Amino acid sequence: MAALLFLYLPIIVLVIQSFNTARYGGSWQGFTLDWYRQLAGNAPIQRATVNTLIVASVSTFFSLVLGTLAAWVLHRYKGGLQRLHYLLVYAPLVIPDILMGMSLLLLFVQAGIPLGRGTIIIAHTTFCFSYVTLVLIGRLQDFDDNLIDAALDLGARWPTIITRILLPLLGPGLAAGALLAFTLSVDDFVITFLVAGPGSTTLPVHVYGMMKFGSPALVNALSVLFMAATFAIVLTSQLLPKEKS
Amino acid sequence: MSAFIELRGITKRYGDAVAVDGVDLDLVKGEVFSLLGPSGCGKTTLLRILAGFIMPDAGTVRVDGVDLTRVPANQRPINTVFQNYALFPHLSVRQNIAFGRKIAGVPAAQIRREVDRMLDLIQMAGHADKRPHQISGGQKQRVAIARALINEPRLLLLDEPLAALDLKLRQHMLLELERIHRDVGTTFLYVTHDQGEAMGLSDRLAVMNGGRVEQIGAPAEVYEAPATRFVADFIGDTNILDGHAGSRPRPDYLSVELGSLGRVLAWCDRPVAAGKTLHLCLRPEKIRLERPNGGVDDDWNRVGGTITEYNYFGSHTRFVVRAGALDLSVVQPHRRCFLDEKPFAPGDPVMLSWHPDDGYVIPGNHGVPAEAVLQ
Amino acid sequence: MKAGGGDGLLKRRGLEILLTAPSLIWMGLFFALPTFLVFLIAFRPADPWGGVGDGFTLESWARLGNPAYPLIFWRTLWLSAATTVICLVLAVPVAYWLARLDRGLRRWMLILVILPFWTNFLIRIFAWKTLLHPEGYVKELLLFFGFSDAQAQLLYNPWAVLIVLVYSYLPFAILPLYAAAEKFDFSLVEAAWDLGAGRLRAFWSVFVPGISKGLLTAFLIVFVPALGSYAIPDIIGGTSSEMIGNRIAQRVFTDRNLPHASALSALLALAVLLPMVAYLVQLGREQRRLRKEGGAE
Repeated sequence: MAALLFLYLPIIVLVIQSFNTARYGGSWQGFTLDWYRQLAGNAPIQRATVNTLIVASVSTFFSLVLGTLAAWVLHRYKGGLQRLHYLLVYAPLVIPDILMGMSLLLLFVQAGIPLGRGTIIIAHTTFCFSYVTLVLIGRLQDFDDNLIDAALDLGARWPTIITRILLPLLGPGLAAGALLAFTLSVDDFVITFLVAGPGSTTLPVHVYGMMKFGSPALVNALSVLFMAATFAIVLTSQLLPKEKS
Repeated sequence: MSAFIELRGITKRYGDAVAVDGVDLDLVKGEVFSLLGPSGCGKTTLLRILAGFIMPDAGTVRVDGVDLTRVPANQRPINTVFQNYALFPHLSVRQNIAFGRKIAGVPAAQIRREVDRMLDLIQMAGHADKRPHQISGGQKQRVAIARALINEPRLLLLDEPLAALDLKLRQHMLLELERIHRDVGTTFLYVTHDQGEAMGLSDRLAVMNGGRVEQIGAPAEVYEAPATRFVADFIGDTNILDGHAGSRPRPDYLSVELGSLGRVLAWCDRPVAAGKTLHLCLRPEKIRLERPNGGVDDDWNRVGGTITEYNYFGSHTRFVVRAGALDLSVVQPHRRCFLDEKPFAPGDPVMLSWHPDDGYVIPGNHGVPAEAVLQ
Repeated sequence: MKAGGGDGLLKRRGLEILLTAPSLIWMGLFFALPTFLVFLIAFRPADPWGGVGDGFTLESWARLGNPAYPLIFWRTLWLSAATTVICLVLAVPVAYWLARLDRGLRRWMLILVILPFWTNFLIRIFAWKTLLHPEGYVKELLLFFGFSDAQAQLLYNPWAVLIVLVYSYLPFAILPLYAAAEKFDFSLVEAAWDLGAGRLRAFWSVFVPGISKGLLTAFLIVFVPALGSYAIPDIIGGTSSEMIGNRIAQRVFTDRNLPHASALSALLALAVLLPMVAYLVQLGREQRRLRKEGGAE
């Protein structure tokens, strides 16, 4: 219980502070919605939000395609090639963000690729892809391979098997993977900070700037909105009916 | 007897291991044929080759004269009932059964009629809209059978279909399978390691061991006249006594020298050179157990011994009798109430007797010590 | 059953390679190659325009001899180690408690534990900054009880960084430990009680070894990212609490010396490699032990 308090105390204070009239936090000086009102008219924040959503959507799509393929191959085949494959897919999960961001930055600089939305998408796809694979491999382990044999036995061809058997049964796994990828992408700061170029700022990078140089109260309000959105997504995903088994 | 399904020289290797080793098999149209053997004997591999899930390294598969060896699973007129049923969990019972027909592009109205007929056949008309997780193991089994049979396959493969069910349900499903087979008349190939299922259900069966077929025949044939020591050993309980061929006191009978047990008479219509090593196969239930002063008015084989152990099983009692240097397993059914007889007890001297016809001679293996192997 | 798998058609090598290619190429291009570049560029000179020059030089490595660096390396190491230890000590009882809850309640508690992990971590860091702010609530509370004087600075020191590191990585420690605790057979703890062990003793000598694999994963998943921390010391800490990550970012953004940043990154990569190899070795040992124990079957 104490651990839960430790986890939530800062968040609760943040929410309270976002309604505090005091500009630099501190003691309670009265209730206000002013900070939220200021956010509504803030064009750079809106641009950053749109950019964040674009980046997250595209990276989620790519990492879902790559991750599904990788999970399937890793599940289906064993051998030397797959051990290498496994290592490459899983290593990014334990590499510190700053290292991954640095190495990608060096690649883009050396290859002469201009930093911008494209480089952010490449970077996000790379780390989201590992997580998607992780989630899907777990789902595939619960999957009964005999079902594929059964469908083949009843005359189905691969396109039918994919659309009628695999996708419906792996659907919840794909949704979970997509949700995770999207959230990770929206959340990422360190890697994005390193590979972002002018004009391709995402929301976390923008928030970072505000934290360093802007009004703390405004950051509080923005954070609360951001948090409310993530909590809503997570809670709905948890409340969705689970596949009975 | 026209060979409806014809397997010739089927061989499949995994690395150095030979899973199936040059198997020839002919199935007659409409029969129930079982592949029986211990796990790892190659029976499942053979079934998967027939289904088309794996390709043999050598050999041909013919159905009704058509070579199907290289035809993939989804284009074969053969369907499978899987060991764990492999019902699609996201589809209802009705949708599961309809799956194959839908793929074949059959009009919806006709599929409906056919599925209804199938649901009647498996007596599950009331469960059409349930999901697989909502029905019992025995019901899943029946749906799996219907899902395969609706496609009117030339051959139905059943891969240990009852292995996941408990004993009572297994016995019930065995009768159910028999009924379904009577109704549809499709050729069944039944794979199992359970001799009871195989004997009870099949018209003929093949006993497999180490990737090879040891014997093919009707259940009674395989039980009463096992072709090899492995078959004698695998099917039912048996006393396998090592001995030597002796003289032929009359046609079709052979005098067998059993060492410490002396000489007994056994049925043997094959030529055997005198002095040759052989095994005498003697089923425990064929041996009569009596007090030593029993009658001596026939040509039965008689051997004296002492009871060393017994286990009461309700329908029968199993004794171990020390005879000479050998321990023999003897089973006595309880035709009369066990309690009103003076029961045999360990240490009692007894007389064992059996008819010469019930001792079946199988060729000897080299290097097997001349001692009885008690099953 | 697997050996005979229903993929006679699929088991062809070509298809495997074809299906593996996209992800293998992607990871080769955007993970393996860049990691290799880090080590390569550390040996290149910097050019005056913030790029990378040609040739070979040890200049970047020589600059690591700067007396400020050993101090920063040491701080990075002890902060990460302390974070890991504190996280594990806090997370083990939480995992035990979660695993013993009944199913319905457990699910909601688990969501409660994970939820902060889903919030943006910059926000979590910023929340702490608000909390520890000179005019923040914690300071007021400490002043009220007389634990602190008005001049004391709660922010911008290594202790503040440590608190926020623990806060940020705690969920990462709880999850693998919970996963291990959920599979743990709690009748073993009862058996230990039955044999006379006290509650604490049973917890320590039966439960903790029982979740050793989870501990191992939790260690890796906290220690390695902590080594590479950047945002936390940057926002919460001052110059007195910089970690390697801050220096890497400074070389990139402040004086734009990529080779120097590469040398620092290469050093960090080596530091990260060590616990990872230790993890793999320990995992291998664990699996061998399990195999040996399960050898009877």
